[in-house]
Amino acid sequence: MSRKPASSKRTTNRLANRHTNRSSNRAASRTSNRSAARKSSYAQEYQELNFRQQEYQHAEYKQSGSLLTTDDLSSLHVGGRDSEQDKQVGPVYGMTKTKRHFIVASVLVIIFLLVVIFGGALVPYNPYAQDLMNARQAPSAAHLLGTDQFGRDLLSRVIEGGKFTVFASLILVAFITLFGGLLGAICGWRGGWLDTLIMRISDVFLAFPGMVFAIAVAGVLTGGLMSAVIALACISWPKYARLVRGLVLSTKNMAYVDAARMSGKKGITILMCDIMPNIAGPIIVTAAIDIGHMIIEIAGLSFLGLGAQVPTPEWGAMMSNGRSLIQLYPWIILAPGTACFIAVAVFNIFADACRDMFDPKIREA
Amino acid sequence: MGAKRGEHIVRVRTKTIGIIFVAAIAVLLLVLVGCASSGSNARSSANSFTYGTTSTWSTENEDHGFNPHNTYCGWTTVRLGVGETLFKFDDDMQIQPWIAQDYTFTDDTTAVITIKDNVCFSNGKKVDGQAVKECLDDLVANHDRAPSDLKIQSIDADGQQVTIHLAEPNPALMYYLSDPYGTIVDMDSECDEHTCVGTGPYVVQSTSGDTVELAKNENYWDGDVHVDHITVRNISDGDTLTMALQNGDIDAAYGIPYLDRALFDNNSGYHISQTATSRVFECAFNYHHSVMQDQNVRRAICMSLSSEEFVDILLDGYGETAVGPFPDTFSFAADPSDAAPYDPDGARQLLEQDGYTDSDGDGYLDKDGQTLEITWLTYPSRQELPQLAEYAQSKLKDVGIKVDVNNTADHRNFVRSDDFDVYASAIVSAPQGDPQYYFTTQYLDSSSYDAGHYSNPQVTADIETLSTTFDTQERSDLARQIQQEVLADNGYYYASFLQMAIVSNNRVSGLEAHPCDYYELTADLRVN
Repeated sequence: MSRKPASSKRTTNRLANRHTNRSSNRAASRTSNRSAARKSSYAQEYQELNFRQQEYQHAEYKQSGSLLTTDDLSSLHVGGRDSEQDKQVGPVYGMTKTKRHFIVASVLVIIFLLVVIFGGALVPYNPYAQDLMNARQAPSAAHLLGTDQFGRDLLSRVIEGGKFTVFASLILVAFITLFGGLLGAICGWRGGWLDTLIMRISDVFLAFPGMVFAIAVAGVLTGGLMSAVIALACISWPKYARLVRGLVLSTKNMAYVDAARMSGKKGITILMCDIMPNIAGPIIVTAAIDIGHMIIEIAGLSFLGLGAQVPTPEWGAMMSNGRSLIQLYPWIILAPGTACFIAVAVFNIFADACRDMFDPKIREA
Repeated sequence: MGAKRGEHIVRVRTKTIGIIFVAAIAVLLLVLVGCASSGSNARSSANSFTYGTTSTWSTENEDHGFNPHNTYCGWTTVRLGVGETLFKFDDDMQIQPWIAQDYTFTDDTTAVITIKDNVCFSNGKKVDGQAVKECLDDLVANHDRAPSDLKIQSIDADGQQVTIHLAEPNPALMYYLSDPYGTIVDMDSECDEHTCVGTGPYVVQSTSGDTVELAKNENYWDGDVHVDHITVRNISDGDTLTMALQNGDIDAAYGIPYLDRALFDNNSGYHISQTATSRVFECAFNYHHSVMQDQNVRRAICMSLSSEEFVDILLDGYGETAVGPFPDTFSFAADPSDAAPYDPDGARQLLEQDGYTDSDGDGYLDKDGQTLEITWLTYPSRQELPQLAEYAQSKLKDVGIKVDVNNTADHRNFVRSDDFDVYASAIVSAPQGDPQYYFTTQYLDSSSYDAGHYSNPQVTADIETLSTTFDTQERSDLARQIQQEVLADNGYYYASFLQMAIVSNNRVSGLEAHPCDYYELTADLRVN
């Protein structure tokens, strides 16, 4: 009946026994007059409950195919659980294909971030300095990506611009993940009127077409990169609130949560120490995918004049400035456009690798 | 069993992929067909014409309407060939008869204008002295600038003659009556944002959003009109305008970005008509802000910017360098020696002498703990202006002045609320070929377009003298003197003049750029 009965049962029993033992010890210290037989009865009841919950999880897993079970997630965060395939030595570097992809993607992201962080020290020219005598120069040995209409070196500006575009995206994703995730977790855990209120507010935000709403907010805030980040944060947090709320709702009645309750933990502690670590996988994957989206959207708002302002070398703003020259001097728009494409590709590859790593079905395939 | 099932799945998938592929091809073909039909719109009718413009009928400007007695709406009326004025300008900006036959000043305060006998409105009604009187009375009663420009006390009409009595001598009266606000329209007919009845070769058929539909005026008094139908589209983005002309959506365009002109230069498929105009790109300093009240700061800004560099490199030579508000083709243009010289090092020294130092080492000068920081307000509809802002931002940074650029279509509200230090804009300085218009709209306390609140008693007195001086040479001398005083104050910075161009495809003839910047669609227009 169960797809992985041996490992699942072992894990369940291990967890249940651990929590049950803790619970029993604390109960014993508080109420010394309770009988050992009664304790044993409780433990057996919860073991049975855990087992039924686990069976239900496996049935759900089989039906949905790609749904991550709490067991899968918990195994990733509670010390990890290597599958048989993972334990096999791969043909290269002794790793599975998924892990190799993940490491390669991580290295790409690290290299990219290093270029963005330290590139400013390596750029050949001051990215802000105008040199009108060299305006609109085609790519050459002196200017590898050419110059713009003000004679500014495009390579220097593209590298400098990465700081604005990429870091604004990372800050934005971090904020909406934490803020939306926190609200979603509270909604899922508390339920009741608070859940209804926050979800209806999120409905309001979701009712508008995202980019149109972002343009309106950025316009009201009179432009600037910070305005663009705030505008995108306004439209993006409900996605995380709903995701985390759903995950919390699906896990809060699971056996290990009951076991944590029985061990005397309080609500917020269970939410933060037991539930959140076990639902982090899908949230991290979603956030990783969103980095690429946010790079595009921040650049989009800047392209429309609602993000970074001149002379900031933000990629969207650079493309906007070069738009009018696309027919005669295409390199002015191609340079930031290509940088944007590479950044999104790198983060999307990383997001795919994260997804594969966190999905036991793919990881073990 | 399993193998058969697998084969079946493969067959089904192959079939599905095939269907999707065929559907995608079909959609692609539909899209291509759709594009093809839209691209050929402009060529669909031999006797129709589609005109794209960045300026006329623009909600961003004050010309979104046809009532000439409302701000700058007269520009739309004249540009689109719907209305005409009593006099018009020739290529040398000298006034010539149009609706009027001639004029005489019987004394300093009385002018008699004779109307041509064969002129009629597009509704067939004859234009006589009474019709002109009613129109001018309404102009003086409703327009914001006309009363102070014209100084009309009363108007009498007798047959084809109109006698204008002035409150005080006004030597520029005929020039002002040639301004688009002087368009003669039938006051007995509807005249509002969407229509008016004028005497031009075209009549307004309909307006919707950014589009105006015009039809041939069957009653046109001055010869044949060769085009039956005209569609005018306001396309505020210059790049879109370029591509619309290239793909055939429009037949001709006003406002092609200067850097895109190279696409049409020496291209046998297109004709470019271009001329220097008096549309000047100028910067007004806000005298209500303390930092701008310091003349050394204003002078340092002027000394940091090079008009030659801006025109030759950033505008790719498609413009004229400026010293004052009038191009050197006018006899009353300012002397180049009156302007502050281009000297960034001198500008820095000037500021340091004024007590500014870079005490915190951030590259910007400061005094009394305040960084020398200014807000540069401009707008995007004239492509030269954002370029000028970014150029100034870099140049002034070299000198030690921090510039925050506010490039917004909502610039008029920022001007009203005084939320700027420098306001860069484009204005036609001599639409009537006379300097008085510019002085009275910019340099006086009562000026309607004195954004920077510039005020100098000597300049005000000189403008008063100019307004009562009839002799042409004396007027030119006075105009030069006034500019000299303003440039000595560093009250304004003048960057360049627009080189106006109308680009049309080979179907079109008779569409020529004019130095006044508001004669565009005329009865000479032909479409092959």
